Amino acid sequence: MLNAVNASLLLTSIRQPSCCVQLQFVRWRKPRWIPQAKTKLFKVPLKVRPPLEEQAERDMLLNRYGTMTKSLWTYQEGLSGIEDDHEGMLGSAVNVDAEIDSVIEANEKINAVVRARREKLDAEKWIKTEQEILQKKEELELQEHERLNLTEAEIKRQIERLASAIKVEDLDEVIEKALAQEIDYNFAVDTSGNIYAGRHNTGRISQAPKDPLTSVEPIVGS
Amino acid sequence: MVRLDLFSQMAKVIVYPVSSSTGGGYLKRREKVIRLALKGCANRPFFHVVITNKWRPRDAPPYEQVGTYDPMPNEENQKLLSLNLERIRYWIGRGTTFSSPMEDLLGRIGFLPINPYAQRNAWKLRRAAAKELQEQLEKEKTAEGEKS
Repeated sequence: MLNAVNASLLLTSIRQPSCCVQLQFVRWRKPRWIPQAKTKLFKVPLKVRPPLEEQAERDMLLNRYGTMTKSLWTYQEGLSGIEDDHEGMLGSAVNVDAEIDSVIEANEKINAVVRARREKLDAEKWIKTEQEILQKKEELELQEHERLNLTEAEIKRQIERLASAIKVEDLDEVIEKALAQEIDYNFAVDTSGNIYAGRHNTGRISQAPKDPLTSVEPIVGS
Repeated sequence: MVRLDLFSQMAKVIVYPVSSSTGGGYLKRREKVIRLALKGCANRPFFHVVITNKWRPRDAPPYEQVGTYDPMPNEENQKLLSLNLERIRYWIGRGTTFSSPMEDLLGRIGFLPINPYAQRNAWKLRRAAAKELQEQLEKEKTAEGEKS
């Protein structure tokens, strides 16, 4: 019941300002003026405690960490004090060259290690890249080969097709032949494609026209 | 067993000389901290390791930048952390504290002792992994029993 009341309150608490920009948001929590739910009133959340041994270990670690950090702080504070001290600065200036040399030496050592590692990695990377390039090259060659084959086939096909073509030197002959064969288009065709010649046809009647309309069976019987 | 408050131990109270007109003495508002400041852009986090006033906003200009941290593993699966340890040592001497992520990172690289909270987290993860493994083994066992 209370939940229903709460829900209704939540709904009523949705703000709809009357300005032109519509801003609407839903509450993500219970309004503060609504009391704690009765079902939750006497519910004490169970606190999970670690076993005693683990707790002891945790405490030990924490204490040790605190002590170590504290000592580090104290030590560093002392060091900083010496650095700030003018005499201390003068005293350390004597060994500056030696220190710089040692630093350079250490740096070179680290650089050598890093260089070796980088060269190794680079070599591996290069092998990989080389393989990729070779594979790509192979693929391209294969593609080119296929393309050439296709072109050749196309050329062959065209040559075969042109074998029956009219040549320039045969042109007159072909024209004469065509003129000699008179074709008479003076005929009738019905919906089934039957040709009905006229009474006075002179030349050869042409083939029945291949028209989809005539080749299809008529819907209504003729 | 007495549990020590870690941070109250670590925070060193240093009395800076302040002019009498401002009151003088230790000022809480002047505590300095070494922490991570989020840089980068959308979906690409990147951090600067900075020394700044503890009470200043994250993006406020720091006193000093002492390093960077890239939390996204690179192609060799490394998370890169660069630090100017000399300057960090100097600032420790000045009583500067660390934020907890920074403590964790510095513990991992061996500059500070390992953070107990990180250790506890590791235990937790190890326990979860062991549990998962056991469950998987039991599942396999039951599957074999059903087969035979």
